[in-house]
Amino acid sequence: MPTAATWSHPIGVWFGAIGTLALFSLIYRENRVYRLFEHIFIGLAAGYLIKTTWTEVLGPQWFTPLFHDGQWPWALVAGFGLLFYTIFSRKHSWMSRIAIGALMGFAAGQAFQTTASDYIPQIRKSFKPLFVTPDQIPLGSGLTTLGIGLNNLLFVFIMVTVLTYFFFSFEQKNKVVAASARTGRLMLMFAFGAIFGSTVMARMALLIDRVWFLMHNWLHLQ
Amino acid sequence: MSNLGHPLTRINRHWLYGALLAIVVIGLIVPISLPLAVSPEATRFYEAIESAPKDKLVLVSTLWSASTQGENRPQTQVVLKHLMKRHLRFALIAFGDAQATTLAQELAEEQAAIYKYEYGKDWINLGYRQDIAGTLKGMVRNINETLKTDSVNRRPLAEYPVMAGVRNVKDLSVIAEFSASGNYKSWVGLVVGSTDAAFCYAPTSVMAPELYTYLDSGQIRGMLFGIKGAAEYEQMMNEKGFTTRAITPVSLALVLLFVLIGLGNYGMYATKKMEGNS
Repeated sequence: MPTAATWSHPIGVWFGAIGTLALFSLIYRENRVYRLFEHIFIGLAAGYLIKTTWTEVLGPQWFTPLFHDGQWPWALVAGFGLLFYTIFSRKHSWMSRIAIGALMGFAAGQAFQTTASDYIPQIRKSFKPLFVTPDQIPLGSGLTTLGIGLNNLLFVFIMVTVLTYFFFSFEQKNKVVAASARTGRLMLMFAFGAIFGSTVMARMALLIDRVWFLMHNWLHLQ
Repeated sequence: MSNLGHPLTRINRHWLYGALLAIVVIGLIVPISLPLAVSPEATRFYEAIESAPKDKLVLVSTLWSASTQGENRPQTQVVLKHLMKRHLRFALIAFGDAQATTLAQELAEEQAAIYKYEYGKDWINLGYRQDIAGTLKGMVRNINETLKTDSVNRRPLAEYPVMAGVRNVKDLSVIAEFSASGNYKSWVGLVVGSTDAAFCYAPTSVMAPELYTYLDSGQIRGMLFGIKGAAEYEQMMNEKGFTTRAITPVSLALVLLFVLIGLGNYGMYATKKMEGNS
């Protein structure tokens, strides 16, 4: 694995700076330099994935045990993996279903386990006390029973309204149900707004990182 | 857009890009210090590392590449710094993106040189794995048997002093993942219930809102909210690094966006009014 010094070499920094400026040139307009560096970037990422897959996964975990340590059962894994490619032959494509079926069975079992451990604690935690006693206040939190109670009430209110919105088994003609569903949709909009705001912040952070790279690592202005 | 609209609806977009760039550059050059409130989730992340026992291993999982390094790199850097300040043993592991293991190795080497951390004794790189679920399930049973060798010297893990006393995930004190994807579901689904280790997550800002349900349920102990979370962590460590400097242009850029959205909406309103009068 290359060391840190390899990556901060002046040639690497210059290549990074030229690549950054070339990709930013799209802001002005579409151009050939942008296209060239876009292809270089995609090619580098793809090449890097192939190289790492061999050096980190296939080489040490499959090739070395099979050919250097004589652990021949690893050859069966290659045979099983190659079954996927029979999908390209009309005559032999039925064999690919064995590999796909095994993979789907593995994924389904996994999904069952993760769904249970993912959602059950959240469902349990959604049962919140609306009348809070002093012994339920977390130590050192500085919160009050009224504050926690109001927070829990708001949580339950939002959860019920949002769940109502997603209840499609009957037409929502009842005024109370319709109002609850509308409120739920409004609450969802708040959540989407928060996600959009976070997305904008993430993009700003990426821009700032690149500008800092140009100013600090390349031009040594700061 | 009609040429007859209000002038505010016809601003050339290059001026807007120029204004954004100017704000970012000025914000980075002029150190304007804006107040930063430390969130409870960042505090819990910090406290998980601060209270980690020294006889257990901290697992640092990375799943990010050059495309999100603006957020994930400072997050990883500040937490590695904290680990080394406390002289805690740690192991790196990477999933999902092939670049993740190299970038994490680079960061760890930078900090190791400063804090005199020795590879194999104080820290180790367990390498990159493509199969997240299979690897995590294996690590729940036995880490050495699942991962076998390290990523740098390709020697058996059992030979390294840093792995002494580490059999499976129960021997970890903290699991910290720095990620640009939704990998937390694999950790929560397959690992968190099998260990007492605090699971802390540092996602990009895009992903952070969806994690609050997991923080509320206690499945995730602490979280760093993108670059803001990294700046909060730096503040708790009394450090003034890149994120402390970068958080000012982030705030200024968001203010600019508020102003532009306001102007754009006013422009639309004024155009409609003009059309109504004509």
